[in-house]
Amino acid sequence: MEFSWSVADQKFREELHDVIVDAIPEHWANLIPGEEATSSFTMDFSRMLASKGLLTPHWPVEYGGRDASGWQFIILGEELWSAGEPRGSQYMNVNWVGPAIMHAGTDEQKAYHLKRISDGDVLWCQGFSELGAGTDLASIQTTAVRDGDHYVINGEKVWTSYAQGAEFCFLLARTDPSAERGSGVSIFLVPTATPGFTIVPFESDLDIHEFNRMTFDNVRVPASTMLGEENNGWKVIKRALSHERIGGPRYERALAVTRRMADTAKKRGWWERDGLRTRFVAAEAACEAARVLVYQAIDAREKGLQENLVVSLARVAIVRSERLVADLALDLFEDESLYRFSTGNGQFKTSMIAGLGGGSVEVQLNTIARALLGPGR
Amino acid sequence: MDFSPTEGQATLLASIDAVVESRGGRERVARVATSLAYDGELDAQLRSTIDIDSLSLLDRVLASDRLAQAGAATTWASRSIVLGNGNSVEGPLVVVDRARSGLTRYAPFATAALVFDGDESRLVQLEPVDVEEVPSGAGYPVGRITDAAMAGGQVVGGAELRNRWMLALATEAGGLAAAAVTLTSNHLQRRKQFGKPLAQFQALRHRVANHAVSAESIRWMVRFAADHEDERAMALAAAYAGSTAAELSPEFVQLWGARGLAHEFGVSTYLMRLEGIRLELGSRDRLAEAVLTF
Ligand SMILES: Cc1cc2nc3c(=O)[nH]c(=O)nc-3n(C[C@H](O)[C@H](O)[C@H](O)COP(=O)(O)OP(=O)(O)OC[C@H]3O[C@@H](n4cnc5c(N)ncnc54)[C@H](O)[C@@H]3O)c2cc1C
Repeated sequence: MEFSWSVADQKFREELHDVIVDAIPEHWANLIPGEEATSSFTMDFSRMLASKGLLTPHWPVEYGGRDASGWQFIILGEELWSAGEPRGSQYMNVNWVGPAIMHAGTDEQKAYHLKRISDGDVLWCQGFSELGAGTDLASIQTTAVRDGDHYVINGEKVWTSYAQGAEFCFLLARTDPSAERGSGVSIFLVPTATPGFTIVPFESDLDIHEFNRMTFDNVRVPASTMLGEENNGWKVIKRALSHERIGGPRYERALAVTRRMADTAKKRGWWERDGLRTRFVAAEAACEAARVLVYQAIDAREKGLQENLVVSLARVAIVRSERLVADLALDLFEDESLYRFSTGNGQFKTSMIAGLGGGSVEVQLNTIARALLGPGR
Repeated sequence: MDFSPTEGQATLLASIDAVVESRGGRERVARVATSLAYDGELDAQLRSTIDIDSLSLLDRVLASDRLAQAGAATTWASRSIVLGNGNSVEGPLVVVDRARSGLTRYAPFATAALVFDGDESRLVQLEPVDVEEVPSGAGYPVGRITDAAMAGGQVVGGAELRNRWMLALATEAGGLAAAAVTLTSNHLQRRKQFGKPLAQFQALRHRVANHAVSAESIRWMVRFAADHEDERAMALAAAYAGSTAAELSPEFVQLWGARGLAHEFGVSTYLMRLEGIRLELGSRDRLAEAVLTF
């Protein structure tokens, strides 16, 4: 056991950090990831990272990477997420869309999509959840029916983040209606411009992170858009979700917010407020706890070990850290957080998203409980 | 001791329900709320139908709780808790502490502000220049009362009005929390995942049960405090309400999933408002200090 970074990974962090400091306008420090998800700034930024080989360094050279260590995935996340996530929604491409295509794609899919992703040139969205299938994702009802060398898709997806600017949707649809739950589900890489595909935003209190309703009305896509085998998409999805869950190192941003708040508290003479210092320490500790558990999960992934349990532990710790920092921010700034674009309001909203986006935290608790206590029924 | 409403109180609550019904019912009330407006129509109708000056403090608390549960966007009852009789203001009243940011709920629609300045409470008539509207993050329209405006006004009382204000906010928190418990219980019994209603998952049942205890605690604490006109009890109820609202708002969002944030499911306003009330009440340490001054 030892817990230090390799020289190459440390060098990568420094190089990336310098690039970020140079490229990012000051107001980004207060943005929450997803707040500016598809702007031209995020596109330019991602292309710039790609041109320096910094967008997908841990990918194989043949797919636009530099064959660097898998740890660079988390370094990328930490540095960029805590800077407000200037990749915009492209963090998803690197975290799980790309890896899923690398794992299950045909040569053509890999050649086309992985190039676009590693060039920083394309926006994706995730078409998983439905009104009837949230936590219970395996019960999705959207169908894809084979018609010659095409599939015809019908159904509705909800809560889709970043759909407005997306060029492709990573879509989950049922190809065998008679099959139970996860079996009978397939994945399609669907261009959002396909006729019959509509995207309408939900009116919500989220204000800093739009989500959408996507409807599919006889959307015809070539069979070549299917990722992996027919009816066998669930395995790919489980892997993708595992990557998604620890893909956003939220603890790093929460820690940065905590540090900025501590400075503010000292400047404004709030440092002596009753109980506040204790809470600052508890918040910092929660962020560090999340960090070590995420590193444990990355270690398991690097070694090809079973990662279910360690990813769930890490995810729960991440959510806890976000919530603790949010509660502290709201107590610290009080009425100032009524303002939508305040630090407190942003942290509050992002902490609520943390418990749900990418799958709800109770699912992770169930996974941990199952590992420790058995199936429970 | 009698925990049942008197005949007069039952009539009062029925009249409030009737007024809400006559102005388009909960549906219109909810529309006004999600559009972040002020329900001037409802306010005026309540004013003309019910003589609030004749009501006791406890009755006003009951009225405000009822309106919070209905999701109404009016300060009709809460301002009468704060100001008592004789200083009644017609439109929405906002309350600000000069030592704080000046940001407050309903400010863009307010005609008057109650300003706490140390131990003094002043009533300020507001002009449009006195308020800057800001984007809201918490279920109510929000604006900032300028420092110049906060400096003016007529003295209407001392520090005791702060306690009334805390009582009013705690009352609203109790009403919102109670409504959230009911809405959530109903939702979890209907919403099926994994082939059965979410209400059947033990992991969720105890959480809802605990939140019901919190909501009921707020409501009875504010009623006791109001009936006894006990200032320390008002501050204590506010401290309880503040930390409970802080806990419940994100908790209920989690229990509702993404529906807790989208407008069309009729719950998001309550959950965001709980947060708004918590922010206006202030931090746990501020609320604790207020109790400890007694
Ligand atoms: C900001 C945001 C962005 C999102 N972006 C996307 C996106 O881009 N693409 C996409 O496909 N989806 C997206 N989602 C949807 C997200 O994946 C779902 O919200 C999540 O899976 C929960 O589903 P639900 O909202 O239907 O809640 P429900 O399934 O109704 O669950 C409600 C509550 O019950 C709990 N619960 C359910 N079953 C159990 C159980 N067995 N034991 C214990 N507790 C249980 C849940 O954990 C939750 O707390 C997004 C959601 C949010 C909030």
